[in-house]
Amino acid sequence: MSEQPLLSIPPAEFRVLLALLDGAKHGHAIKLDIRERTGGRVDMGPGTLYGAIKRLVGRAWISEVNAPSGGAADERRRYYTLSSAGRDADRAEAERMTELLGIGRAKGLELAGGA
Amino acid sequence: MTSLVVLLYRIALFGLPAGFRVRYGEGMVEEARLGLEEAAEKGQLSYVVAIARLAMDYLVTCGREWSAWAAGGFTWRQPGVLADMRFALRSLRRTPAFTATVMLTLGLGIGASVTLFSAVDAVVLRTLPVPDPDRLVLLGWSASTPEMAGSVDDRPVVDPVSGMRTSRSFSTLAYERFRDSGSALSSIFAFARIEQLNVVVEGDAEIASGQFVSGDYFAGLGLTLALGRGITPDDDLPDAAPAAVLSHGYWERRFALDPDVLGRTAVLNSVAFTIVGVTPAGLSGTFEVGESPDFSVPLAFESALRPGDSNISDPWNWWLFVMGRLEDGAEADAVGAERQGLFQRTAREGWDAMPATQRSRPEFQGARALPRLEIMPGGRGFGGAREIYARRLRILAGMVLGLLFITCANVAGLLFVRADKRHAEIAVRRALGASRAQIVRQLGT
Repeated sequence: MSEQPLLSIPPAEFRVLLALLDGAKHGHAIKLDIRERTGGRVDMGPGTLYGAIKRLVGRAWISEVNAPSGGAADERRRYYTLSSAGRDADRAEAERMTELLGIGRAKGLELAGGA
Repeated sequence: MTSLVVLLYRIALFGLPAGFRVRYGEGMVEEARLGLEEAAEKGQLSYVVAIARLAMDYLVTCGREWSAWAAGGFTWRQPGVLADMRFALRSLRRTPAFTATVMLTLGLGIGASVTLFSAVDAVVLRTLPVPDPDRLVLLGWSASTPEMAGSVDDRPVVDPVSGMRTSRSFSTLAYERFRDSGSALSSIFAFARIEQLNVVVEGDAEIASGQFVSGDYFAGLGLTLALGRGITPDDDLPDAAPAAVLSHGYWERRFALDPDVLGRTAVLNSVAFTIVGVTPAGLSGTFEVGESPDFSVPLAFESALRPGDSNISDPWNWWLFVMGRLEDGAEADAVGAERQGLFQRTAREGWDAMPATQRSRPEFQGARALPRLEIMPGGRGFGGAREIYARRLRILAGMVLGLLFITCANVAGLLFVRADKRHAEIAVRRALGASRAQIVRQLGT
């Protein structure tokens, strides 16, 4: 386990952090990524999405960047990318969850996803 | 439509803290627009749901952002805020007539809308708490009056223009023939009111309401009972042991939710019934809104419970209500089309069998029209009458919304007049060095 204190990140913000793991995205792309990965169960409203983005920017875990050059990029939109602090937070939160999961498993909690 | 909603959303965003709005407002508007366009393609219902979710999202964001804003920077101790509040309270106390008028106006407006919304919810929006309520159909018929049917439906609807009458009651014979023929329905069940039951439980007598149900009633609705079992087809046989199911409300009222109620005996109109189950809470039955029969007993006991006044074997007596559950993939129209001929034959047979004493009653004079079978949605229980209410309720709901609007306009007018009187006061405040923002803030409290 990591040495740094384990903090908990609110689910909406954690989902945004996870969505940015594979590269910079704009707001709508973050929402679509989250929706796709959860099979449509999590569909963030505009306020939830940008509220989470605001707080993550405030903590310097993500930062605004210019649209990446390339065909698919939309220059009018603001793109967000994960900072190294954000990546650390992502990892810490994932480790915290793994730890909790481990406790659950050790006590015989059955999980739908399998081991 | 979408552009209107987006415009409203854009205006609503002005209710958010300025810092957040300026930075992320455009993104949120774009996000809202994309979400709405997507929902619009999926149909009207999901569009309404999308708007509702957008509104919820907005309210949650509003609360969150303002409290974040308040946590950083704003405090109640900020000079003047408390003073403004005290000033507001003082001025309200100084003008009790104004305060009372505003409170009364707002109270009435809000109260009326809330009350009406609960009615609209119960009648128009809420479906029966059963699995797949959309697959339930209610059978009924229409005919031009006078018709050859002795309906007992308490709320027949007569169309004032065509003179067509719509009703929902059937004879036992019609129900049995529907049940025994035709496809498209996976189950078909019947029920009828019992006007009054004399109930004796453990020596205490009282009067309760009840309904007759056919053996398939509970299975057809797909109900999971709160306790015990429902009436089954085996209970609905002439030589079966008398079994009764209690409503949840009656169980609570009469038995204080005692789980040992199963197996006890309740004497209903001198017939001893064994209590075998309790309906789930929240189900008031398939009748009108607010009507919840205390006892459900099998149809087969109709003649025993109504000695001398039985309807069950008279083919001319239209007393049963019939519902069905559509088979997977079946359309409601098929149910009607398939049974139309059978229904009309049965109606004619019933008419021919009607005793002359009955047929000479005034409402049957000149009757020659055969009724036509109609299939209505049954997901909200007793559809026909509810639909009549529904139209009136929608009009009423519109009126109350108007009322609420007038209420707000009234209050706004009162506030405006009051503020207008404060010209001199505001000029003095300004002269003494109050900033524009401070004055606006004071007017807001």
